[in-house]
Amino acid sequence: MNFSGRKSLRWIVPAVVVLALAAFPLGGFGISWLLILFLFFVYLAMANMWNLLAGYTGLVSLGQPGFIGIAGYTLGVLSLMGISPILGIAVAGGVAAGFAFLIAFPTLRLRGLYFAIGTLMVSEALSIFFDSFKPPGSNSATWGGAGIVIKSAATVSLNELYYLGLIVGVGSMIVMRYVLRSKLGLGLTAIRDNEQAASSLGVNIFRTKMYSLMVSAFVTGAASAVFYIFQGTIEPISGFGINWTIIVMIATIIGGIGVEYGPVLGAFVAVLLQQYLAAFTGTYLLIEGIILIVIISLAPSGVVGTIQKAWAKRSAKRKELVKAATQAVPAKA
Amino acid sequence: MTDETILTVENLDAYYGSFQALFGVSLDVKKGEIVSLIGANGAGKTTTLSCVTGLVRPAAGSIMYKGKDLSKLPTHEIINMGVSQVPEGRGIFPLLSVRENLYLGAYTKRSRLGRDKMIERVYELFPILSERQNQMGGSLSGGEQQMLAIGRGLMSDPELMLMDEVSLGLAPIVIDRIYKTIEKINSGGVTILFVEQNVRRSLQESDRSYVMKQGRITLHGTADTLKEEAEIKKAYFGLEA
Amino acid sequence: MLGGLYAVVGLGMSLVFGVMNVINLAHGDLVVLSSYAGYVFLTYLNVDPILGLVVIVPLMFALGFVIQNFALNRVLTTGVEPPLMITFGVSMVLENIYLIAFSPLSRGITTTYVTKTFPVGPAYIPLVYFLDIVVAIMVMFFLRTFLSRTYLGMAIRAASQVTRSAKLMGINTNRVYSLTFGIAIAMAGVAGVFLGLTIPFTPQTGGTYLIIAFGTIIIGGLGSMLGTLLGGVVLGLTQTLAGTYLGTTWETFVGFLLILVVLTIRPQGLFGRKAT
Repeated sequence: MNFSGRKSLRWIVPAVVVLALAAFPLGGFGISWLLILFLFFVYLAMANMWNLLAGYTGLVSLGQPGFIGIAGYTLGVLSLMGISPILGIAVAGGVAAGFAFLIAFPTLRLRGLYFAIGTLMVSEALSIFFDSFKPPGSNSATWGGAGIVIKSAATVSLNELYYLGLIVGVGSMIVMRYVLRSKLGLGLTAIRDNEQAASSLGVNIFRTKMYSLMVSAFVTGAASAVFYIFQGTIEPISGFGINWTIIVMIATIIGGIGVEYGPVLGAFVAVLLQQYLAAFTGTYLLIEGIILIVIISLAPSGVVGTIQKAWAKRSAKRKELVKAATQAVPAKA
Repeated sequence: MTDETILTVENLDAYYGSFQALFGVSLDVKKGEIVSLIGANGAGKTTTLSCVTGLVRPAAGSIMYKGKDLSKLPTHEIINMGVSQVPEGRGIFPLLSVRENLYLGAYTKRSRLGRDKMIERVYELFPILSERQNQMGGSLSGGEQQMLAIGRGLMSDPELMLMDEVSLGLAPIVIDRIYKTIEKINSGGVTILFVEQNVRRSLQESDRSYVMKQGRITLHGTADTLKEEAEIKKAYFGLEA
Repeated sequence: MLGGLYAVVGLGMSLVFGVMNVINLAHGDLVVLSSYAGYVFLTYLNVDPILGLVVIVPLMFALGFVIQNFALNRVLTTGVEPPLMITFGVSMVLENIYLIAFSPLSRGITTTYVTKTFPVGPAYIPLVYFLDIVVAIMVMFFLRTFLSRTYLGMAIRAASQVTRSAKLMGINTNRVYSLTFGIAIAMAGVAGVFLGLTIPFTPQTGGTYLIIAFGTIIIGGLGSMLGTLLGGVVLGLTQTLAGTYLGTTWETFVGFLLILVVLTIRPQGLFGRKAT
């Protein structure tokens, strides 16, 4: 969506939408709609963060499950210690960001595709680790493959969860807006266009990418924590599961990588798909996989992206025709 | 040299992203001719050649060769029609031997049968390649690589050969030798369109020349007619590119 | 001992990466596809899976060709992300098909003769391990011969070095890519049946094979066949050692650690040329 021109329009429409969403629970639309929107917010936040990495930093990350799982487990541990869920969410995000900081050094040195595999392995390694790990003194029925319980889940009402989700979802859009217009964002654009040129202009490539990774991890972690408060428990297959990667990928692809509002459309479709296919277990991921293949093969810039491109082409063609009509035809050699 | 035109490029427009590289470029090449395309760096010479062989898709215009519009065909089909290109920077396969490089030049179906005969011809023209036939392409010197690139372009027994900046980075003696060989190739019946930055060399070696500047053809003619142009005079005497 | 097969899987992935610069995230799952195929041949059709290879390998080749031709070729020019995501999609589709069709239970292909053991020094080694190594060496030999002696093999090597020049030779690069992918998946097919004969597999095993394939390439180095073979052996050995001393649950994890370590300190592996 292009709100070029009126600056006020830029803020008015989204603000209205947000207010409407905030007032939603009061409209008595029923629990299932609340849940759908809740999931939408969570997926939106995570998709935005994947988009930040893949679309704006040029880093295809297959390691989001790593951030998600770590944040989820952090939340769980904190709740076991009696810490409030809101604080838990913030800390979980922080831990995820800290983890991103740690893996930044080994993984960011990997070029393009290697980075993807590197992140994949990191999250797989975490998954395996948490599958076997049992802290000393823990009851044999928890940790390891069985996962842990999120104690604070019981204390949060559905409405409160909705608002937490809203904050995370809308927050992620604000983060995207802000990051892209900040110094970090400029650095990212420079890197995306021409890494060597950016470097010679003084952009610290490594640090820029690392910040991007950390921001992505933080918001993803926060969204994950919110999700797991809803879920109530977390196990390795869930927290570090590859389904997160596909959800996040699909949500971004449908809108288009590198397209600012892309994930909005994509996350919405992803949630609806999930609800619709929930009855047919196992097929949900299968269908998502097929959709992924088809969309990328036929429209690599996603729905929103393709529309944007077609629009740009049309306006460029119009300009061409106007120019040709108003210029004298050059003499042939 | 007959009067038959084998290549007609008409009104070519080409873009790299949103940057327009060619503006209505038109030229033609007659059978048996040697035609050159002169211009400074970035004038669009390589882009024009790349359009002929299909490496770049023009946004408008046509490229007629043997009755077909090359601008609509994929590169491998164009090569199979008897066009060959010695690319800018030579483009030899560094990890393949000289012989394998040459063999690949005869990849097209029509040239595979005549491969052994062609390779003899290439070794005749460039004896050093025969000496180095089992060496890795990447280990050859600049001049040798250029010879390999030309030899490889010859392997498909082409009717039209496009050569892009064969003199780049080479010593004058080597360049002389290479152009002598190009003349030999041309007298063997191959039509040649070459791109060259050095104006003097260009006018010397070609029957006709087209001058390009910033994506447009600005001048065109034989060496005699062009020599009178102020721009050419300046460039000829090295006063301005 | 499995190192050889690991290397075969790694070679297939390395071939695709070297020629098209695509990392096939579905490679492991495609290996498992042929494991399941072998299983089906044995259990439902009563045909020895090794005989079944006669049908499986061409089918795998065809599958690889189709994936490259209709999906990957379309997006090769649009950047590095789309092809990666297509292969990711394929991986998802395959894993879920396995889940639905075969349930999450672990399976293995067991024919009567593979478990016969032969004494080698102090240990008794099952026939299947010998088969694994022999097959691995045969596949690598065929691949090497194909790449160096045939015109198509030369074309593939050329396309992986200078794509633009390959096109100028009259090589239909898109078709070459499709053939290359087909070959890689056919190789995966061979590996899959033998791996299925050797170790049990589940719908998720594809992920493990992917990491293993990637590991052999990383450890051995990109672009080197010998390196990939050694990489496979090293990885296999490390895993076995880990299994013996730390228990089988930590086998895969140690393998991972090794790969991560190599990635950090020497990304080009033992023999690799620098990744372009």
